[in-house]
Amino acid sequence: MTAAPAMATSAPGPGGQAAALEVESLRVCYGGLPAVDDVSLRVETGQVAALIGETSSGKSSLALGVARLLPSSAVVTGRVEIAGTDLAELPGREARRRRASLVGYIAQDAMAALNPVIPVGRQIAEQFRVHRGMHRAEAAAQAVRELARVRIDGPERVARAYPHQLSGGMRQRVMIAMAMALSPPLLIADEPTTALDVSTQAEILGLVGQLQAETGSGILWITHDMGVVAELADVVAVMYAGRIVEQGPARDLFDHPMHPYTQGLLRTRRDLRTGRPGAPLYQIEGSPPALSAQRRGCAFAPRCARRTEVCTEQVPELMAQDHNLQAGNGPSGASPSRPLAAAARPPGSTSAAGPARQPGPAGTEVLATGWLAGSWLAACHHPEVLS
Amino acid sequence: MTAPAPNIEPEVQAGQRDAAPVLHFESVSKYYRGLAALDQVTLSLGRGRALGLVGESGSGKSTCVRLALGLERPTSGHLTFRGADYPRSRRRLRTLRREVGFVLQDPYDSLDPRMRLREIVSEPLRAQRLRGRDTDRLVAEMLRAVGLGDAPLDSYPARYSGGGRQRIAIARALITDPAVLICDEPTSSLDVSVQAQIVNLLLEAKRSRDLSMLFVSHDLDLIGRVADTLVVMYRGRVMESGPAELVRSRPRHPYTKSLHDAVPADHPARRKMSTPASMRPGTGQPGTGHPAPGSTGRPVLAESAVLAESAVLAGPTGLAESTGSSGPDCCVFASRCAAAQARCYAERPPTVTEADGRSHACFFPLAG
Repeated sequence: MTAAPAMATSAPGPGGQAAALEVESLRVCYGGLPAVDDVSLRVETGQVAALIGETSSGKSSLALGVARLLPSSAVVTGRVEIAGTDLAELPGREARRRRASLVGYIAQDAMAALNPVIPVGRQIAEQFRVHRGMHRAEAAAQAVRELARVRIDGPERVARAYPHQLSGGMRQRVMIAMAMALSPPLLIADEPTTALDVSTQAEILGLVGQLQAETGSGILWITHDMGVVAELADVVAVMYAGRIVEQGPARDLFDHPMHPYTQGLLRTRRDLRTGRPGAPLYQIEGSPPALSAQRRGCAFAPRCARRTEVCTEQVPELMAQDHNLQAGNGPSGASPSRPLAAAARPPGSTSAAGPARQPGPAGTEVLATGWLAGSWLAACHHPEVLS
Repeated sequence: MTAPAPNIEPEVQAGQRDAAPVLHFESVSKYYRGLAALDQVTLSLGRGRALGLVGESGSGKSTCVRLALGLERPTSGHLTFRGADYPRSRRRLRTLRREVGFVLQDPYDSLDPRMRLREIVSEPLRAQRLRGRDTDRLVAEMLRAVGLGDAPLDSYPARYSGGGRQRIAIARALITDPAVLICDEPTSSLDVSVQAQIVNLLLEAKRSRDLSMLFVSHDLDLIGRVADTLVVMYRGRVMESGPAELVRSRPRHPYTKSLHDAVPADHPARRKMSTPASMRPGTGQPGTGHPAPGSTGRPVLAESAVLAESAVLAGPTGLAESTGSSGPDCCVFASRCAAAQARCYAERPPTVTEADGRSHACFFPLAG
């Protein structure tokens, strides 16, 4: 096993530094349908947490919910703290003001996110004028410095350009400059490289890696691409149908995924790369459920080869997994997992509780951290390590 | 180079027809408003083979598809189908299209939301005036073949997920029993867990129907699994082509190599992370002055030479009016190439064909 993952660190003790992001039991509903269903996660300062998901997995709703950018038609419950601040507790105007310096948001479609009729330099400068009270010239000069920070050649020239005059990769750099302008402790990147060419994607991934090393902010990076995850992430959470089905340190997750969905995603990718030309590709059957689909039991069950009766009846809880579980130990009487004490924690209780270790049966030890931020969690009735 | 191709090849003998490649581009160029979207492209799709076109946006992949579908005509060069020139008359073009099925990238865009499955899948028959009494039976049969056996014929596409829609599009493409199937990024807008299903369906259709396939993708790994021959394109030119295995595993052209290097790692322990050297943009001129609209020279605002195709076609971004944006007499990849030398900026590299069937257009090819 690799060194203890950063995600496994305990909740902050008194005087400890708050995490970049703490989400507790977040639920986002549209018309009564849960797009995000009881999600808890934590991103440490200086950490890149990847959130993997497909269509209707709820990953974008989660991101928008965290940034409090959802339309009023969405019903949001649960608690979100960014660097120790809960925006929901602040009055509207104050929340908007504080949000700008707490979260930077990098959208997938920079063309839609940027204002087409204002030069990009002025769009960046606006933040400094509004939130830092700078004068026009001062803000403009700062905007040019921000563009230089994202490795743009000739930032003065680019600052005067309109979005449509820039290539896709350049626009995404501008988005990144804008998101990082006020040095927020948390960056949310919602598939920022999906629409880009592979070479441009490589440039952006390299850039984000460098910038993160410089600034040390926490990043929540949303993607459907395991390759992007491999390049950037320290910790990974896999979402399916509104829930996190597996989470853990990136290396361990790539080496020994336990949830059949994670295993399928990784195998799909490995097979694509190593398989024989012309031979059929490894495929996961079925497709992700629509938001409106009837739910009973595990949402992945209809596509799962390990499905049993219990899967179609009971929603599996996200539970701490024993790393030493051997391959082939699969479904058996002695369950390798135990529910986290935290999972049953009533909402509203404070997070100040320090980590408590509870002895588990058969050599397992359950980490009760006060958050669902244990080292390795999977929501499956039949977790199994594949060798 | 600007004169349209004369229609010199008359009918070809039936015997020759089988031997001739199904689809052949001979030094085909296509200009839009004086800009070369395709620049002397030669490629060939043999019967029962799968030809993969790989490249980034602006490489000319989609222009190749439009030409192959007969939606546009080349500015110069020859385009032949089974050895005969593409017909000029609409009627004969329609007959040709019976032989060419296509599956496009976005199944949300390519299916009319107001049409029922019956109408969507049978549309090629209607266009071909082939619709008869058995149409419903044929549509049902096609839907069964793509794994949608229980789909009601009077349902609408809204009911189906991305993968389901792409299956419908494949059923539509195959209903005229075409000889060629053109797939333009057929899986890039689908969920990761669904992509393999669609690729497998296409591979199966190719095998069982003896189809020839033109497969366009930006994904080097994917295309290496589907195509037996690869053509690597960059800014309208062919950089390298040859047997897929060789081009993928031992690229000769620095551009192919850089495409390879840009594919993200498969494990956090093997990160590539920092930008591959060969992908770094050319050192841009330090910023002085905004480019005047219509000014000539390199598009100074692009951080790399890769421009979105739409921007090339529509953008008043100070692009050159003529081919001068890249210069007809240089390697178009030179400005991003780590191995570029003076010669690369002064001469266009000729296409060199090697003994193992590969060819490349580079003065200083990699050892391969």
